[in-house]
Amino acid sequence: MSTTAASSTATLLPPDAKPPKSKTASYYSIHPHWQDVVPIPQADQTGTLAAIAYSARYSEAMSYLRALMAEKEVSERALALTEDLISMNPAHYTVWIYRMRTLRGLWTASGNVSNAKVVEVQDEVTPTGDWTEEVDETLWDNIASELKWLDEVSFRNLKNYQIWHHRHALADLLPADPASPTTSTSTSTPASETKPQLSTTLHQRLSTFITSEQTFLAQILSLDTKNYHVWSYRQWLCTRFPTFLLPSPPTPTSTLPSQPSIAPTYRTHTEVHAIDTMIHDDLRNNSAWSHRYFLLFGHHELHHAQSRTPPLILKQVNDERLLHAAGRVDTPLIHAEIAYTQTEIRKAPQNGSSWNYLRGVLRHGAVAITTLRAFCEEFLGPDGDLWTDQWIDVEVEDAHTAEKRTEKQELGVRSSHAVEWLSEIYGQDGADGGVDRARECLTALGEKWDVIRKGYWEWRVEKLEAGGTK
Amino acid sequence: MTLNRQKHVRYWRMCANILPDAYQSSDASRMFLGFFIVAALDLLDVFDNPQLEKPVIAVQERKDWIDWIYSCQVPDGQGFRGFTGTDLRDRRSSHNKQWDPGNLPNTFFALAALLTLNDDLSRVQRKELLSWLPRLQRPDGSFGEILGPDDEIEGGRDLRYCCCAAGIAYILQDPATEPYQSPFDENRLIDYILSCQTYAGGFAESPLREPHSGLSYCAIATLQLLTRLDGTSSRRARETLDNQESCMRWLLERQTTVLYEERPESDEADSDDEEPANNDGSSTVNSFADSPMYYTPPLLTVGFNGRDNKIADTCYCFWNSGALAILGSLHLADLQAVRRYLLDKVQHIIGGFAKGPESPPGHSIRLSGY
Repeated sequence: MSTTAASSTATLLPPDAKPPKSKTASYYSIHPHWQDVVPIPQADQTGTLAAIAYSARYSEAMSYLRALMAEKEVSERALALTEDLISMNPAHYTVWIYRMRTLRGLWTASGNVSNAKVVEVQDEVTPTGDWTEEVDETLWDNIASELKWLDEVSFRNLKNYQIWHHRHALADLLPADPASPTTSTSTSTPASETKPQLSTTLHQRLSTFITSEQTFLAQILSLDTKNYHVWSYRQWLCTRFPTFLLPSPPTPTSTLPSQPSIAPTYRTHTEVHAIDTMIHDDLRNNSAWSHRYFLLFGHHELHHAQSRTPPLILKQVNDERLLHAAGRVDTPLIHAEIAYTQTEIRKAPQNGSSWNYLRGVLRHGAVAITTLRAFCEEFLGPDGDLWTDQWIDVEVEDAHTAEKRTEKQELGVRSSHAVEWLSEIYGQDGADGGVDRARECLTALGEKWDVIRKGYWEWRVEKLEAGGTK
Repeated sequence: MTLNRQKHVRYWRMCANILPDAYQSSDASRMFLGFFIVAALDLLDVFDNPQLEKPVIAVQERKDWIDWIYSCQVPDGQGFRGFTGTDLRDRRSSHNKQWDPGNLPNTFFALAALLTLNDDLSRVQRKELLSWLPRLQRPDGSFGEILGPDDEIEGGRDLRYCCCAAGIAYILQDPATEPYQSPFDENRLIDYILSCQTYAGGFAESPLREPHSGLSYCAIATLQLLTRLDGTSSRRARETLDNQESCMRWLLERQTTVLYEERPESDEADSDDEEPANNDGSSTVNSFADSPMYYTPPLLTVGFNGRDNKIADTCYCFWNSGALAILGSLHLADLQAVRRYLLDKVQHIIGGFAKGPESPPGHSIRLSGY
């Protein structure tokens, strides 16, 4: 199988031959554009650990990649080779960096590169331009065309991480959004005190880019709605382009009093609306709930933590209620989100994602859990019964057709989460029999509603009896 | 069912020899695969076991493996490669070595595999490695994966790298040096870990992302390693670990009876799948679908998931229970029920464990399921 380079010119492929799909066919060693390259075979001796039965095509391409890397070659053929290898091993951790280097080298040389000609990287494209500067038109085109290629690769490799890092690196070549507290991947700097504006043209270009990213993200998430890498990229994109993607972009901390509440309009904001839709499609999508928290509350916490010198730990901001103390909590928004989440919980009372989210909202707004007592009690049986699981037949009339039909309705306990919350609420109440009632909640969880966590609920009873729920 | 030791030994023995070409896309993490193979064989007690009539792994073979791992140490000692694929051999020079960098997580796996193989680490270029390690730490305390062409830190912000960095420091600490000198900024690392804890209690890869069991394990394990490093931050790491009730709750919440992608039908009520919510709020959702009230077999089978509302997956049995064990709370999980899941549902007929109960044999058997 091992063909020596240029052993026989008679067997050379035509110059326009593309890499074959076959796992066994030779390509680089018999392609006319690669005859000057001396491949570096893999260093493995015998007796290696975790050897992989590589295809001959992969081994060959890797040997040529090593040869190009050894020469730090920047060329169109290097770019094509990275594409070929990425199709076989997208998790290769240096091939993506090499591709980025090559792209930037070729863009700098802008058009003067023939197929096999080697160029040295000299001055590279500046990663992040100043917001006042217009970006070179060809750079926009170059980034757009690389993203287009990347879209296809992404659809074929849903579980890969490096693809998203590459996308991140490409988007980071675009001009900074003045509202972004971190204007590049380098060290974070506090937002400037005077707020610059994007020029109209730049605003339009970025806006177009963001819209196309949102379309792409919606498409790829439709294939795997909880893809961790995609959501990580999406969150990063929001912090990188807050003007377009955050419903209330961060403002300098010195600007007091805080901005007016976004509660009346936030649901119409493009990114919030997108998340509303995803939660509507699947209210158990925890990734969507998590992003919702980031969009509405989390990024403020992060901004507050990072705008201090030295930066605070994110946890401190919540534990010490610093946003609350600084008057930077949007209280009407907190209440709007509590109401929204309550509606979602009523649709699916056993959904851990929405209950955990609600806990997060309460913490952010420093709202006491005891205020939700009546809401939690909605999910108990008649007269606050903690044990009933009774179902009854109820005759209901269809709103549209006026047809009558029989439906099962639950009379008993409908949410173990509500029972858990009530154990905390009753325990904190301290009023007559509060602790007894809290204990009953935990006992009901361990014995009936959540037996797989019996050990945990028993531990909670012990803790309760040792004094206080928290 | 019980653990079919023989079949597992045979399976891992086979993996050690050669992995099928489906693993080609994991080539860059061969060291990681190698570590899992060695660790699994070690758990199966095949090394230095006097009760074995014939050794499963010959002495020479073990030596060869050790040599291969060392062959991945980059010549200037700044870490181990993830695979031999980047090795430029005699054409490597100071001019092009950036394309053949040490890789942080794979350096940890190399060291851990060497220790498991009972190597004394004498060929590790300890000083060079420990001077390379802090260069991968970012100002926010997190670690990257590799140093890029201009020494910039490449790779995402990710608790996995943090855990590997702490593991390297732990393995390479020199007990003879007093007082202990940490190779990197431990307090910054703790700051970063704490910033990754979410409102739900679990940890995410970076601040405000979704909590995940594997990453929660990394957070907890990193803190534990820091308590053992005896550095200035070890007390702080201990206090942080002692204050992890919300994480413990979240880890235990990952126990689930939902083992299949399709949720089981519950009674004759409307099934709960594609469209869980109605637009007008008049919900037809059977909200208690994963409540035990519909599953009261005498012996429950319980797996672990990695995130809220995901199905059980074999590897999360390790990540969740491992983190719980470090927190001293493993006894609160229903371990018998988890054992039933592992042995009856995902233990594979040819050895090894599958990702889930319906995963087809062969290619889907994951090494991470060890």
